[in-house]
Amino acid sequence: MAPVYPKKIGVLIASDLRLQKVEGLRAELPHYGLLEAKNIEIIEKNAKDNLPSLSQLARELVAEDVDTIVATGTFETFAARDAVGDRKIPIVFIGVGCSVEMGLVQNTVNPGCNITGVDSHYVQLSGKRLEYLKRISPNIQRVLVLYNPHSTPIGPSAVYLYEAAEKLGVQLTLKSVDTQAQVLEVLQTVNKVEYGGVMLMCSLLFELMTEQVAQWSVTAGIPVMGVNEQQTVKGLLASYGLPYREEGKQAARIISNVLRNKNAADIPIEFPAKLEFYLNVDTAVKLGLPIDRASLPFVTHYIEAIPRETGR
Amino acid sequence: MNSIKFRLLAFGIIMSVLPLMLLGIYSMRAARSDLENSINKNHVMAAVRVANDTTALVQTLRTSLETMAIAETDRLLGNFAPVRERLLYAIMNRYVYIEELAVVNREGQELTRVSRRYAVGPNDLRNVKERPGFEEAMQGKSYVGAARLEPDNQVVFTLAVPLVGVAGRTGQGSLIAQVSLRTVMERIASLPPGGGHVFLVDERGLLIGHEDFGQVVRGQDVRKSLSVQELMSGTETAATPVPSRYISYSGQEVLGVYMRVAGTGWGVVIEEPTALAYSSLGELIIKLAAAMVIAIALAVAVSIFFALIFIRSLDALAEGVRRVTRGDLEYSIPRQGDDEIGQVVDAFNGMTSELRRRREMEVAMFQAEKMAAVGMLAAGVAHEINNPMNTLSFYTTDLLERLPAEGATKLEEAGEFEYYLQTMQHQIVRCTSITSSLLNFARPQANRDDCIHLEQLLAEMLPLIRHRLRKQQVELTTDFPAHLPGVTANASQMQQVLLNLMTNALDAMPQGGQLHLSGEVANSQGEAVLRLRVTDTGHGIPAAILPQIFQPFFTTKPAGQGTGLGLSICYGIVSLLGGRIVAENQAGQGASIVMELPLERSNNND
Repeated sequence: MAPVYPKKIGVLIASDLRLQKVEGLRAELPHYGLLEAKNIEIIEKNAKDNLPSLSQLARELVAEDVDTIVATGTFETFAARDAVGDRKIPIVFIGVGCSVEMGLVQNTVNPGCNITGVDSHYVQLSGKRLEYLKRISPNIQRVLVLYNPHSTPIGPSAVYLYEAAEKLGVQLTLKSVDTQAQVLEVLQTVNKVEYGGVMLMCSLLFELMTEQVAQWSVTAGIPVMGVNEQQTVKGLLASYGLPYREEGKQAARIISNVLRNKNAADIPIEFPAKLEFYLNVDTAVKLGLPIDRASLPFVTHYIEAIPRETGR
Repeated sequence: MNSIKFRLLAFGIIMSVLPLMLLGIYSMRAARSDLENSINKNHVMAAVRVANDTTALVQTLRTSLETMAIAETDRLLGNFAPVRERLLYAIMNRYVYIEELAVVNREGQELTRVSRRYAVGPNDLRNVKERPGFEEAMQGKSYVGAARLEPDNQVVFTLAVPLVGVAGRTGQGSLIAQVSLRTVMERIASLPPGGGHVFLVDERGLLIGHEDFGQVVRGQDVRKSLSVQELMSGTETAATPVPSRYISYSGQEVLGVYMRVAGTGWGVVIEEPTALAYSSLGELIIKLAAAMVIAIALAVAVSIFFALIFIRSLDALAEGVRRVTRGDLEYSIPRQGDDEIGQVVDAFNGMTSELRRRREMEVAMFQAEKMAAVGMLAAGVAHEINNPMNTLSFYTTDLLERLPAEGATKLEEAGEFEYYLQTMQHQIVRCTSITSSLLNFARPQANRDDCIHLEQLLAEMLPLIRHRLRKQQVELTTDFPAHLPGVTANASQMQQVLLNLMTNALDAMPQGGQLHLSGEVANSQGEAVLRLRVTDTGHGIPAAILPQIFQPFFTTKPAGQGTGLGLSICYGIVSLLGGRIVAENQAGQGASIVMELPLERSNNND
């Protein structure tokens, strides 16, 4: 009988910020019978925030003759797609919004190419995040939305944002930024009188400067809504979405199907299954926001330096 | 192919191969059956597990909502919207598979609705009076609706419970949830990979969950599967799933099983293509077949080995039989051991030895009887020789008397001398012929068969009995067609037979008569034979002794005139040649001895 070689899973990572996705992936793969050192081999290529190196790392994965490439974000997915070229190695992305609008796949039901994965749903959740920001800070009248056009097209998100803003009676200002300097420059112009809150759209750019934005938020007294739990842990007031670890776990099922020779072109894009709301209590206190937990039943996790007594 | 060699080999091979083949087929069938049972058992367990999970999901959620509806009816239907929201969010946060939750009053108007994904403003509240679930809830019944696919690729179903309050009063309103089936899907997808496909269908047979979720969102029609049809018909009676084999919606033959999800119209179906299910069996069959081939090859080799040993002994025995049948009594089969065949070989060699001894005795007896016949012929032969000897004496005496008187030259010139010598030479040749016939007859027989022509043999015998014929005034006549075929026989033995028959006939005609010898080709029992008939006109053979005349030492002649072995020896010789000899009475006019001999082989072939 011919020997059975383990399937190679190449993982392309732009930043350590994505590692929780990989942890979730590793934790879930055994549930689908995929065990490291037995029938799969996981090869990680981490750019360590050096985004230009992603292309080279992706080519290295292709050279390793991997069976599939897991891309942990938008930049990684584009780099993997370019490196794969005509070889049609299946690419499974974890946490990419607007995959259709960005031209990665034809549609979410039938991707029609070698790319599929777990959509971050950040676009669709934009309105819901605005609603939650308003619930935490009910007096908000105007919100500044920052987005990076290289990560997520604002068009689809804007539809959800303006629809929610109208329902909630909130005015929006959308600003495009693509460097950290631009972000800081824009924030320096924002004042508490003009804007009651700031929303960050999904982008590695914002994730990489979370601490700076959090510090600005407290200094300016303006709450900032992020997209993932790590931003909240690092000081932003709140975030709503699928935790990175859960995204990684959800991707494991798709990878299992891909490794069982199902055509990626026929595997629908999945949307987040487990949405969680993180609220940083310490930041809320610093911003002077009253936190009545009884009135915030949608919060799934409270982040605070000293966890309060539950009083059981 | 009729050879015992082939039959023995065939027997050995068949008896080696057949049991192994039967055992192999039985093992393969048993393995296939065990594998199928094992697969079906796993499928049943998986179907039960998924069905129970789904049931638990629906039941747990329904019970929780019902409890909430009983306990919080007043606050849910009250005028304070933030309280309603808090209650609804609290429920939604607790049950992650609730996508949307709404409180509806008795008019069907949503009072509050919360969504996990989308912002809901006051203007988004709608009247759901006409939507599924509302009417049932208003009648006090909980409602589990049909599953449907949402635009964001989520399969959801409606769960509505009545707001009845602690008093249990119906018609106040309802709590309506949109519940995602993702939990079930994840359960399905995380089942151990065994090659089977697990999917969930609703009461209409529509696909609402599949491990390959693409089939759900593409609306794959699975209603051609037998399991789905039975689920839709609601005819299942067994409490536990009953596995069956059928053609699935995909066109593949599958091992399928289904189980209804209690409390809903849905069903869990598990199908595994038989080609995949039995793939491991194929490997087993190959190994088993290889082992069988090796075992069969060994068994055949062993069978052939022992068969050859056995056959070699049989071949030696058959060769011995052939040699002895051909008359080679000197041949002895080499010893084959002490087994049964060895004992047969020993017995055969003993038999050959005995035959050889008897043959020698027969030859001696034949020779003795022949010598006796020679004795009987001696007087006649002497007479026969005496005539030429008298002639020789006369011519010699006359020549001696005339030679001195007439001189040799005159006699020679007159031709007398040559005439005398030619006459003497003729008489000498006559004597020589008679003595040659006697010598030929008396010579011990050679152990060799030749092609004998009876009329020629008879001509050689005539000088020996011519004197008796004349003396007894017996007229000899013969009737042998031209080109009469020969027979394979020993010439000396046949001479003895002819002489015995003719002398017996002469003995029966002391006062003269006719002795007639005839030969012809006749048909005896479907076989061409040479028939020789010796007929006399003597006193015949009394009917009473007719059956005994071929017995040894039976004679009607006075003592000293016969051995009683003549006809017995004739009988023995003819029998050895594969022929037969019978005596026929001519009803007072004499007797006939009829002898039939197989034709010489070349004649038969002609």
